[in-house]
Amino acid sequence: MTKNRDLKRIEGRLFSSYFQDGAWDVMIGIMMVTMAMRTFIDHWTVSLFALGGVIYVFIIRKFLTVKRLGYARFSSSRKKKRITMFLIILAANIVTLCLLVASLFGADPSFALRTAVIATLVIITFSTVAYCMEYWRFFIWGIFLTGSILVAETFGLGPGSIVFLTLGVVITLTGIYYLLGFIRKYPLPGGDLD
Amino acid sequence: MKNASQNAVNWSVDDIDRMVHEPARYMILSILYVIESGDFLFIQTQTALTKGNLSSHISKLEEAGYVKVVKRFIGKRPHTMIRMTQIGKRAFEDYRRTMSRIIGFM
Repeated sequence: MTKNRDLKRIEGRLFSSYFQDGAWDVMIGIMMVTMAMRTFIDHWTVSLFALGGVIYVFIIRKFLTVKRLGYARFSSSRKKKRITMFLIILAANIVTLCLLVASLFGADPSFALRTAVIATLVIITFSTVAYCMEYWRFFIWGIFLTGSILVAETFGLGPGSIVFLTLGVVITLTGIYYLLGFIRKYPLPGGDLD
Repeated sequence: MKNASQNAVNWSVDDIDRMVHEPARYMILSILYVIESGDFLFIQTQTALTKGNLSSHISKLEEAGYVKVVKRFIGKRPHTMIRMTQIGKRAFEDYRRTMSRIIGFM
């Protein structure tokens, strides 16, 4: 097992090289900024911005990352990890949906309970992604987002929005910084796709 | 202190697979061993080898039956996918075993 540790490290390094583009950071940053702006703009625009973040990741991956870094298919253990990650995220979303449905039917969970559940779901989701994708910045963003939620819930939407906005901008700028570094490190190959 | 039997050389230079022993090829095989398959560009960015150098090593590994190269076209541009064969995996594992035995002996 000790002998294969170096190979596992190589595999981890290869896999995480896809996250050097900072695309996910920008997506999370954009989502946090839109959450901060929900007091100023309508829900449809907020949803469009959030969707824009997801589309941004897709476009960057397809037209920038793979074109510069190349394409690799990873092992089945990696696929199992991804499935586990999606199942945990799905479970967290189902719990959130149940809370939403319960509140629509008149159930009014206490303020402390609601905040605790939301904060727990966020930290579980982000930690799962960080662990399964070996994308450790996600864990830090999860802690920041949980902290922002706690501030927003405790001190009301106004101060919460400022925290969300500040963190959103910081995370987006971090993502852009990584993106620029990625573009410098991996220039577009000339000639054939080879 | 090692006794005489422990000091006896229990390996020969012929035990080392020279196809795997070359540093660039070892690097390529290490990458292909831990992934299912990868395209030429991915291996090139990860190994930092030049296109010609990588191409020559891939050809040698293909001739030895250690890797399988599949060429196809995406639009009008050629795209090369490379994966390690079972023979290649066995050779890579044998090489690592041999080398750790030799290093352990030293």
